[in-house]
Parts: sequence; C-alpha cells; structure tokens
Amino acid sequence: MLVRSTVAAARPQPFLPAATTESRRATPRPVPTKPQGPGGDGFEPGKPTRFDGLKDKALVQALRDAFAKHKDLGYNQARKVIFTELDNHDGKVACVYTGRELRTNKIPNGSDMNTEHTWPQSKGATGVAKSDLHHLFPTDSKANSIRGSYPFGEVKNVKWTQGGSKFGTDEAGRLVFEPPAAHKGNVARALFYFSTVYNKPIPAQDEAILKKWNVADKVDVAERTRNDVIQRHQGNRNPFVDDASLAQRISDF
Amino acid sequence: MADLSALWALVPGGSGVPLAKVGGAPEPVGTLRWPTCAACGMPLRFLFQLPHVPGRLDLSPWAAVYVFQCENPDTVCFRWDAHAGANTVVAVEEGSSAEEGARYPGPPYAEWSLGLGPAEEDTEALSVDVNEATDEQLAALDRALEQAPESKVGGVAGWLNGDATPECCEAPMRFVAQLAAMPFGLSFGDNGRGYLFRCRREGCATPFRFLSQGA
Repeated sequence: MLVRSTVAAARPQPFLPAATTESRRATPRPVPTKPQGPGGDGFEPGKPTRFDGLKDKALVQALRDAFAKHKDLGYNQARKVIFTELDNHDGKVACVYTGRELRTNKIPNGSDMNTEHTWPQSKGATGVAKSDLHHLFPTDSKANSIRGSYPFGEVKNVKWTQGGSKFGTDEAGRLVFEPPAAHKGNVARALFYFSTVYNKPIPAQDEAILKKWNVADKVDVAERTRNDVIQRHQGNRNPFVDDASLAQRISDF
Repeated sequence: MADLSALWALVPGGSGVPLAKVGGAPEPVGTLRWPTCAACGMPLRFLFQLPHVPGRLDLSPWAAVYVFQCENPDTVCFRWDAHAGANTVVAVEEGSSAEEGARYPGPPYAEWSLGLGPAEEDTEALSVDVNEATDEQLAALDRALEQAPESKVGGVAGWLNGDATPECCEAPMRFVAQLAAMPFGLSFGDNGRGYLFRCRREGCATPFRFLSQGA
C-alpha cells in the first residue's frame, strides 16, 4: 500500500495496522485501551504531558511535530472507511448536520449522502489533507451542498434549517453555516487539528466562535472512540480531542 | 463502457469552437426561452453553453444546450439537484436567433470562450464500482481522477463526492460533459463541478439534466 507523509517532521512511529474485515464488522468495534502511536502517550487523564508549559506558536509547532505524520489513505479509501466502519453504527450512518440516518453497508450514492470536508478543499484541503479522516464526516448531500465552503458561524437570519443546522447571515451580515449543538465542538476540534497539522490560519472571527463551541460542546465518548479508530487507520490522533484545553492555550491559530 | 462518448478536454480560453463558452450572455442558435426556478420563480442565472460539434460532441437533433441555475440570494433552492427544478438545461434547435422571457436580474458570470483539446484518461480506473473495488483499485481511481481533465466532454464522469448519475425515464442517464467551477468562478459548492447528462430515451421531454457536486 502506498504510504505518504505530510510535510511536517515528526519522530518515527510505527503505523498501526488497518482493521481487518472481521474487526470492521464487530459491534461494538474494538478500540485501543490506551492511545498509541504519535502523541498517544501524552494524554492519559491526570498525568503530565510533554506539551505542558507550552503555549501559542511553541505549542502549535510541538503538536505539528507530533501529530502531522500519518498514512494517506487516499480519498476513496477514506470514504469507504467512513461509510462502512468509522461512522457506521449498527448498519446506519447519520448525517452530522441534520441527523438524518441512512441504513447502509457501503458507500451510498453521492446524491443521497456524501463526505463533508470540514476544512473546505477550496481553502486548502487538498493532497493528503483531502483524505484526512480527522476532518471528514458523513453528511446529507443537500446539507453538504448548502454548507459549500462557507465559514462556520452563528446564524442570526435563517435562510435554511434542518436537524439543528442553520444557514444564513450572522450579525455582521456574513453568510455562515451553523452546525447543530452536538457537532459544534467536533467541528471546532477538527478545524484546530487541521490548522495545526497543515499550517493553515483560522480567521480571527471564526476562531473566537470555534473556541466558544469547543468549550460548550465537550468531547464525548463517541468523539474519543472516533479518534481511536482513525488512529488505527491513518496512524495519528487529533490532540484537541484528547485534550480539549489545548485550544485555549493557543491565542492565534 | 461501450457507450462512452469520445473524450475531449474543455479548454478555458480556447478557440475554434464557436458558441462554446461560459458566462456572459447566452447566444441562442434558435429560440431560447429564459428559464425560471421551479422553487422560487426567479429567472435562473446563465452558466454555460455547448454546441453540437459533429464528430466530437453529439447533441443532435439540437444545435446547442444552455445551462442555467438558481442563484437567488434570498433563497436556498436546491440548484445542485438534477430533479429539483433549480437548474435547467435548455436544448435549442437550429433556427432564427431569439430570446424570450425575463433575464436573470443580476450580473452575468465573466465570459470565457471554451475550446476542445485532445485528452486522455484512465477509463477503466474511473469506471470502477467503489463498493466492489480493491484497495489498489481505489488508489488507481484517486490517481485517475487527478489526472483526468477537470472540464471535459465525453469519457467518464469524474465524481468529486461519489457517483450521482441521475436517472430519467427509468434508466441512468448518459454522461455528456462536466465543467469545473474554477477558473470560471461558478457556484458549484466547495471546489465543485457541474455535470451534464442526457436521457437515453428519444422523445423525452427533459432530454438533458444538470447537477453539481462539491467536495
């Protein structure tokens, strides 16, 4: 299998094997009892980490060094993982924006449900980043089309809404997309990861809202489990899921 | 694969193909009735037109097709959907040039001519069923998608976010062309593409359909 690395330097880490067909079918799916691989030793509850004492650019650099390197699955393999394992729970895949569920055991028709790049391709999610599971989520194709590449924000004047998601203008009159409350923190931590690993800035007005969402919608078991499963496939973790307080120590992504 | 049309890249700024263009105002080869959105009623915005080019782009019996989509800033009409009525392909037969109906009230897209250039793509890799494919075939599909022309007529549809071939008259439609949003600045979602399909049944009332797909 083709293995490619992202540009950032990182200490060599063995990739964990991808799930076997059998393990993909298991419910509940097996997850590591302890985070392993890049950075995994740094986030055991109550224990000090090698990122303690770091903040701002020094922290971003340290996180990039530790978490950027990963296996490039390729986009279509990534889509297969999403719909058949990562986000398939008991034979159903739910849209993260609308909550609509689709019963499937395969990649669905693209006009029904498809794959959302939380960090848009048109804003830099290309190459290896296009296939990075940490910011890819299953979405209803209509909701994905409505979000397009609009920034995330808090909608004041609603033009469209479904399942807790909203699209419309914010207080400043910008067209923005607001995910449902239960996915806001996931969006924030996915974007913090992307910004850190791929060295892409987050506009200040977006960052303030994302940090608010990061606090309001805390990491839950499902998000931790997703992080574990992604690590098994592509060999790296999202540190902002392992320790949500990291984002608050970075003043300018 | 036997019914694939010949592949040609659509070249932005190219020449030699009269009437092939993106943006500006449509140039009717016959009577063109400006379409409106089935959802909001607003006149649709003109996107691009393609002419029948014997031996290269078969649109017969029509002389050209004109593609529009809803860009009403006050609504969220499903313009990416082949069946929602928020986009339209107007097929025009050769005749006296005429335009009917109200035009889109906003500015047109910037005008680009389009040429047809020779191109190659890995038809076998692009045609794979992603749900039956091996890991190697999925990797080959990724490579083929990157190497194939982003804008083209003929060949295999290069899906950004999974096969979404529309159906008409109870059968999958035949792929005609695709156009990338860039460099034209068209609103096809995130880094998107628009896809033009043709019904396989002669005499169908909606012989062409259009959809777009973003990442």
